[in-house]
Amino acid sequence: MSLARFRQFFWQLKLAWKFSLAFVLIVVVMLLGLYAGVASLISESIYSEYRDRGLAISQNLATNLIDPILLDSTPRIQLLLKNAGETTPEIAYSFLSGPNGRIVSHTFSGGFPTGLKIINQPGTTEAYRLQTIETERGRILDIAIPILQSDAWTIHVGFSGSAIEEKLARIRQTIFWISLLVALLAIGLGTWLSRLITRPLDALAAGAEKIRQGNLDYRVPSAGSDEVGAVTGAFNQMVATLQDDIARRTRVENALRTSEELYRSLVDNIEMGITLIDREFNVVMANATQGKLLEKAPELLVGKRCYQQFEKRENPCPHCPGIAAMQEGKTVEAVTSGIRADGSHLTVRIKAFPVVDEHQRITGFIELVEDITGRLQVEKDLANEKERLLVTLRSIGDGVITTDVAGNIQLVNQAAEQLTGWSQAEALGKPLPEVLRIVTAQTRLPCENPVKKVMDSRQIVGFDNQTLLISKSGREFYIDDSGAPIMDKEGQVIGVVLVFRDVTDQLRKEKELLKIAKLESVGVLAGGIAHDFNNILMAILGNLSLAQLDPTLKKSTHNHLEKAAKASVRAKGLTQQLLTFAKGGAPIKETTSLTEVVMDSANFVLSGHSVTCHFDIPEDLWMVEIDKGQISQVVQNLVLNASQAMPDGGVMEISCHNHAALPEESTHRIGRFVVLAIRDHGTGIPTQVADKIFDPFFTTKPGGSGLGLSITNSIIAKHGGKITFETTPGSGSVFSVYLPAAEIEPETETLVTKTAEPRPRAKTILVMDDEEMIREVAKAMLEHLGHEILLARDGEEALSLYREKMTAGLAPDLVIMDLTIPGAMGGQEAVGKLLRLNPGAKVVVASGYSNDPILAEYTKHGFIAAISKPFQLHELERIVSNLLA
Amino acid sequence: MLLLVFSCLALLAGCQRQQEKPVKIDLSAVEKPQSALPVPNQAELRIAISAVISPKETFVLYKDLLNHISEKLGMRIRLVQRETYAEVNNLVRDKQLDLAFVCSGAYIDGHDQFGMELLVAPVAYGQPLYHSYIIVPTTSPATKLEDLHGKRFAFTDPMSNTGKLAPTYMLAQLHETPESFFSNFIFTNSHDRSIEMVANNLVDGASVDSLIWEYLNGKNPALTSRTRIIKKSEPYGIPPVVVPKGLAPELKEKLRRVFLQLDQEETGRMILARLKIDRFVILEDSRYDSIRKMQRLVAGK
Repeated sequence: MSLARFRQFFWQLKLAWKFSLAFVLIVVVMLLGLYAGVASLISESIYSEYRDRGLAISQNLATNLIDPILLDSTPRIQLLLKNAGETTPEIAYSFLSGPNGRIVSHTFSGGFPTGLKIINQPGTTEAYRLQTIETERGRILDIAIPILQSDAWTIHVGFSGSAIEEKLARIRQTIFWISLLVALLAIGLGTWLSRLITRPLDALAAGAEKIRQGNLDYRVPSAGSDEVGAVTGAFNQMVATLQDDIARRTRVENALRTSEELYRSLVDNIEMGITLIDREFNVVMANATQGKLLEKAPELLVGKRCYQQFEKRENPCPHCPGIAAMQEGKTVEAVTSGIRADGSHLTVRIKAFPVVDEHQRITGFIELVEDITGRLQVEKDLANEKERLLVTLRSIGDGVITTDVAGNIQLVNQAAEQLTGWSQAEALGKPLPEVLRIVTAQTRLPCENPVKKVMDSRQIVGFDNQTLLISKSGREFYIDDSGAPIMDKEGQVIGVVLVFRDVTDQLRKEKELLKIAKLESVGVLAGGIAHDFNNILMAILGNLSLAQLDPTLKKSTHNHLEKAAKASVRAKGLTQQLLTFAKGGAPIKETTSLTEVVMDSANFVLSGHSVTCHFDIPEDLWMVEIDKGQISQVVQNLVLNASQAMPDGGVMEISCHNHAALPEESTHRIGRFVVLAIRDHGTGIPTQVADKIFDPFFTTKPGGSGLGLSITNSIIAKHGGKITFETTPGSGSVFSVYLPAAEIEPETETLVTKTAEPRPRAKTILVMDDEEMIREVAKAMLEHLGHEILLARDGEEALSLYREKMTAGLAPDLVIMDLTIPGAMGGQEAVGKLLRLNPGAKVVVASGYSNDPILAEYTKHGFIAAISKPFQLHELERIVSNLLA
Repeated sequence: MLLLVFSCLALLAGCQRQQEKPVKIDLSAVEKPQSALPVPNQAELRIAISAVISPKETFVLYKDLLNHISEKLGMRIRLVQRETYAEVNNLVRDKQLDLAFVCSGAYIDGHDQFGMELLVAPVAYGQPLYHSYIIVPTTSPATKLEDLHGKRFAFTDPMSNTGKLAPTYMLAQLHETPESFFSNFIFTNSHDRSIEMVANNLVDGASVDSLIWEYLNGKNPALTSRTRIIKKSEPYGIPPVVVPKGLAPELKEKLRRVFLQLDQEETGRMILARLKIDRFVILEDSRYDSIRKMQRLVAGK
């Protein structure tokens, strides 16, 4: 183990171990040193003693030998050597060498060892000489002493070391065991002592650890009154102080944390970018909003130049309010705009204020960046909205005047300006009654001030619509008005708003509606009359057509009958018009050509008139699907208007042509139209009334009903068509009627009289009508056509008869039912029951109410055909033959 | 750190034994047994010095003189010492020696018994004479020989003049014998040893050679100061240097010349000074007659 590693190992040990280890090391080193020293000293001492003893014995022997030597007494010498060996056990041998190295005497029993002869020869000046020799008898110290200070005689004494070696070994062993014992005792003692010393330190360390873990209430147990005790006491005192300090600091920290959290919460949640920037324009702190504004993580901004990050510039922004704030030492604002990463525009208001350190030096600045893009937009929107509301208010059709609680005018809108004759500028601040002069229509007495009324009641107040407003110029309007309190958020009345409307027209229209209601009553009356009229006409026309068939009639009689029939047909047209006028009604469409309807209707209107008509109708004109009666009415109305526009007479042009699509509406399902154009050369229509000509009850003609063009428009619309007009004041107008062309080619209408079609074979036809004359004429006509006729007065009878015939296997082939039977089952009800009897039954509906919707949609009700009364023989024949073919 | 500790320990352990490397010797490899006795060398000059003082002191004292003689004669010298005067006398008698320093008493015996010849004699303190000192320990109350009655006493050699004959003669004059007078007596075989025993209170008194006492008094006063002389004998002929009867006259003459010329040479003078000898002189045998007289008296008794 290197010294460095040992040192590292040593410093990692616990203090007790350090003490123990150091103590053990010291003790071991000391003991080893002591052992070595003591052993050495003892060794030296013993060796010295041993040597001295040997030397003393040898010298004594040498002294004793002098006399025997000088006296040449060999036996005495021998005796001395022997005695010395016996009295001193350490003497391994002794011998005396004489002149010339002769061995005079020795103690070796087996002869003198040759090896000894040459060793350890002392010099002439030496008192003695020592030589250790290694022999088979062990280590021996050979002590050579010259006798009589001459080299002639030398006594050698071999002093054995084995005894001394044994003694030394014993001593060393004893020292070793004592050292070991002492070392163990010392180690034990050292460990105990170190524990004794370090236990309070350990307690102190454990206490410190507990305190470190937060147990500040812990106190280290007192460890006596020594230095460690003093340290423990001081430590406990320090902990107490620390505890107080920490408690105080904790309170401060909590306060600080709360403040910090508040600050952080404020900074992070405020909808305003906050950036702290130093003098070198490095971002020190940026909040989340700032990051959001720049679409970067705020921490990525820190430490970077603000102008690089904010505006991608290489130098500080020229408009930087921060520079100004630092220079001027006060808050500086700037508004700047930029473009976001997504390309949208951004406007920000930057408020910069300098940051000052404790030495009042400006160290940087804080920028508060507010994205005012939205606010600007909102402000703009609000201004727009306000403007719009103002404009709306100003433009609103109703007059609006607001006043304060005192009744002084604050706002007058355009409608109110027009009605009162006061402009807003004139009216502002004036008392309301001065501007809004209202009187009761009947009494012409001034009305109560509406502001006062509202203020008194504090709720919405309505006014009698018989209120008359007298404008500044003296014009009078009937107004319908109301007043309401204007309340603020707290419900306090801060003013009054008055809304009023010119109801003069409305009142007039109400009068008109009253008129219409009267007309409707007339219409119902007319409808009833028309129905009866139709029945009568049915009988007349039927009988006339039957009478005309009489071959025996005279030519003149036939002509009369012919004229009577024509007159009856015209009467039928009149009733039709009467019905249409009375009730409108869905058109009963049939595919036909416009030509006849147009020419007949125009001629009918213009007969006996100063205006003549020029027709331009091509032969290949597409067929149309129309209700002839209604379209005839349309033509009559338009021709009548045209003729009235030319009071001085003249020629009007009526033309028809095929048209691929409506001028503006090319999306029509068919896309093909037949256009009827009626052009007059009259006064034209004034521009200001042009928009109103199709309105009901709008008329420019004295005594006009205002219904003509209204009905016309209604009829055309019901046919899926459209009416337009062009007018040139002073030179005339042209009305164009677009009617959808038929999808199929029209059936070739052939008159019975003109085409000799083979009659169908005789069939049984049940005719149901409450009018006997209808039944009779129908019977006559059908019998004329060769059919067998069954008659019934109402639904019950018809069903009973049908059932009876059906049971007999003679179910009628065709049933013609009147739609309306007063007081009994009509056609609509009967057809359902009949079809239940026989689902294959063929039922035709006939009605004098040609405008009844059932006639228009007969198939929905179970009928297979419809015929409007009065009908002529050829009409009946065509339907019957078609159905029975 | 650990490395440091262990290196320190290694160093300490290393300090434990700092000794020269041992030499390996095989004790079982032995040589053939041979005589422990020295083989006589004819080329040598054999000189014996009687144990006036201890053999070692003698050796030390006479070493330079012997070397000088060896140098002068061109012969190797072999010093022979014996514990007793009698042994030396025997060697002289048996012509085992060429020269001997003997005690005055021994000379008389040798001369009278087998013709030991007197070569030269030293002059000390101006005279070729010496005394016997009766000494007691300094602490002893004895002031005269009689005070030592019943005490322990040390003689030197039975053949010694000053160490045995003279005190025995003094006791004889008191009609006492050593056996009757002393409670106990021993022979120390040398004068210096007797002085040591008195100085150490091992004996209550001793009789020693005045020359030796004076020599030691000069050399080791600490020793002699612990002794007190209570009696000084009459002067006796000084212990001489002798040769055996029949020694080659040339050698005898050479030897005599060496001794007599010692005081005439620087080296010789230094040797003499150490030996506390003024010079060597030729002395008449008659100079030892006083001793012969004491011998006769003691023996006649």
